[in-house]
Amino acid sequence: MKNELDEQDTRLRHYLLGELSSDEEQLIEERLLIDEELKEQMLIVEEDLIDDYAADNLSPQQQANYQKLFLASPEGRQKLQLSRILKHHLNNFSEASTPQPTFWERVQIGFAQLLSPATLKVAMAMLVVGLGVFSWWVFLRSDLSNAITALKNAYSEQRPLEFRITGFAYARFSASASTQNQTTTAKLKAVDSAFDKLLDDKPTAESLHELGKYNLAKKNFDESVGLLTKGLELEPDNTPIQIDLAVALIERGKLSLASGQPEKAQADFQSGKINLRQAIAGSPSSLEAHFNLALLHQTMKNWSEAEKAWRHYLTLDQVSEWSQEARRYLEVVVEAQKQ
Amino acid sequence: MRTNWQPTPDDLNLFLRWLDQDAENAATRYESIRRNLISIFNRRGCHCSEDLADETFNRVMRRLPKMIDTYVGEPSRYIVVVARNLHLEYVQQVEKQEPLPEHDHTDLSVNAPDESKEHEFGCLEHCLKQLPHQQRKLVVGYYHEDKRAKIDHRKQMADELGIGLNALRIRAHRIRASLEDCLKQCLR
Repeated sequence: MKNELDEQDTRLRHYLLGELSSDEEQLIEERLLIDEELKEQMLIVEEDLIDDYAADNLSPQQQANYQKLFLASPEGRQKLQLSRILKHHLNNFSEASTPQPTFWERVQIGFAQLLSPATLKVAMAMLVVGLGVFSWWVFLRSDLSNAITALKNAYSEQRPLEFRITGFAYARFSASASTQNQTTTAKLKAVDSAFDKLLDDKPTAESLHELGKYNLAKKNFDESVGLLTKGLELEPDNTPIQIDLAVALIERGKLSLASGQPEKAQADFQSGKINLRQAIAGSPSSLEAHFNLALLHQTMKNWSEAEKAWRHYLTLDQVSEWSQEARRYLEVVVEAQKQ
Repeated sequence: MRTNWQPTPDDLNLFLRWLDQDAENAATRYESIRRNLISIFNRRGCHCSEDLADETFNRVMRRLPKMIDTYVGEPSRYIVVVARNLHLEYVQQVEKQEPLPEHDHTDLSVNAPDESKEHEFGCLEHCLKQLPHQQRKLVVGYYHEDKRAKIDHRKQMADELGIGLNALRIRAHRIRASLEDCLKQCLR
């Protein structure tokens, strides 16, 4: 993983210094046009390069290339100027002169320190009780809240889809429909009645989103796509809706594939991918979006992309139960490429 | 460099549909590709990157009706080829022109007068104050070159945060990007 990243960094550095062949350059530029992750990686490499130039750490040839390419444009000169300001002044910025935390930040830091491992268990117990009381209050508050709570409860032991629906805590996934029905049927009845009430209200982006998730969990993918699309029309930059719409499209695509309609499936997969990429562009640290994108590549048997995406996911999430599942998927993907 | 040809609304609609069948996605993609083209031209040292990005789109739109039915592959591949050819034209044109005066690359703040340095420092302090404390601590630590080797220092920071080196690098980059935006405003 580290070697791959290093290799990519090296290639990007050569690209920035104009040291690649024309074909290699073109390949990188094709990806830079559409791959936001690569673009961010390149900006990081560019920062390192600017810092190296500012610190006189480049060879004479690299310095000449750098000046020719970077310093010819006003943007390049401004980047260098900012780098020099940061380098010069941050080096003079001792801990003592770092602006001290505000009162509110001190309170937050204090709380963070309070939650040391020794007190964590007690704190967690209090939190669980508190959350129970809070959930009960929320449950009474509105139909929408009732419905959301009921939906999450229904799937707290086993999630309905392999892909991640936003806001759902980790629960294992089983492809066996019968097992799922046994564990969730009773709870789903409560969900149905809670969501029925929502249909009478004037739709908002939030209610359309929750109704969309509800239909997604029930595997009514056409309805879910329709509702989430309407929700996104009301709030075009809503990342969680983009993610859930992507999941609905992908799941619908899987059904099309199973029923012998590969073109329809590919169209849904592509739309799902675009929504996920937009979600990542809007919220680059969204674990749900990265997880789903990796799983989509895997579903489409784009093994190398899937491997890259899982590895990237695991740089963002190394401890959750989702990351354990991601590691298992990564093993599957690596194995698939050997065959 | 620029041709007189301008796209009609139909040309633009065809181009957007080629980028994505969904109108909203296509518009987002158009903007994103345009932004990225500008960055590519900037990185190649071009002085009029926005114009070059727009001219790239114009040339693609002009040829699209003839090739859309037979073209196979990602639109980005074709767009990059057009952009690269346009860049070659740009370079040839620039070479014909009178050379611009050489920039004194050393004259970028390092040798700035004390007054200016004070202003820079004030701006940096102001911008650092806008960041939450944890981010402030991270960015100062990440870019502060202690006596220890930089790489060891960063490794230690990553360990303390319980994250990998690359994750730390991404975090520092994002904070630096917002810090630089603030600095640009302040120094203007």
